[in-house]
Amino acid sequence: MAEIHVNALNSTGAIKPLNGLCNAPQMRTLKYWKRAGVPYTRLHDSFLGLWHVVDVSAVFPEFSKDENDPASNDFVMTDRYLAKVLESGAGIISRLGETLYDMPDVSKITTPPASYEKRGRICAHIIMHYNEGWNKGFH
Amino acid sequence: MLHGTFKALAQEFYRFYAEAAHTIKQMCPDVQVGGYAPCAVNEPGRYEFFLGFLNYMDTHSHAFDFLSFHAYADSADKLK
Repeated sequence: MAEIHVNALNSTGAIKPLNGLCNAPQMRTLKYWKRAGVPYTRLHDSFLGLWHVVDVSAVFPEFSKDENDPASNDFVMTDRYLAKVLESGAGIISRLGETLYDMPDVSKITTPPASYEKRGRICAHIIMHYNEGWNKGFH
Repeated sequence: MLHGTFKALAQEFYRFYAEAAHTIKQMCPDVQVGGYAPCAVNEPGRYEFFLGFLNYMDTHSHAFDFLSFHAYADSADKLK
């Protein structure tokens, strides 16, 4: 068994918060998130009811479409989902990826995209939507 | 295939990350870009892939600001 030794006389800095969570709060858990002061939440396997949200394929469902056209993106449900996180006060750690759980067609997301650069541009626009307000985003 | 999650060889996955990350960095230069968010990298097969990814980043990537990874602590053995 490992032993942990603490030198309380030697200060090395602030303790990093370790009470981060995953995904967004629900209506009934929002007050607990606020009370706990959740510092960050990581988004993965995110669903709003039955809606698949957050993932790149949720925001940009048809890879063949023009990635530079705002209309090719669907941010509506993901925006609603992230608004719930923001209401809790938690920061967001979002990964630009895909969930495998409960997906009707897994091959669609496990097959490498036809263009890696296009995939990068799609991801960049998602970042710009939430960081810079691109395509009626919020930040 | 990577554990049922990517239908291609490891080198192709490394290239996927490098090219997509480079594009993101070009469009969003102030953003930190990293990956690849694996889990259980210490398990057989996954560790070799992990080392291969790091090696590829050393020689090919221009956008690798951080490494992200996670673990599922659903058994005491995984915490060791």
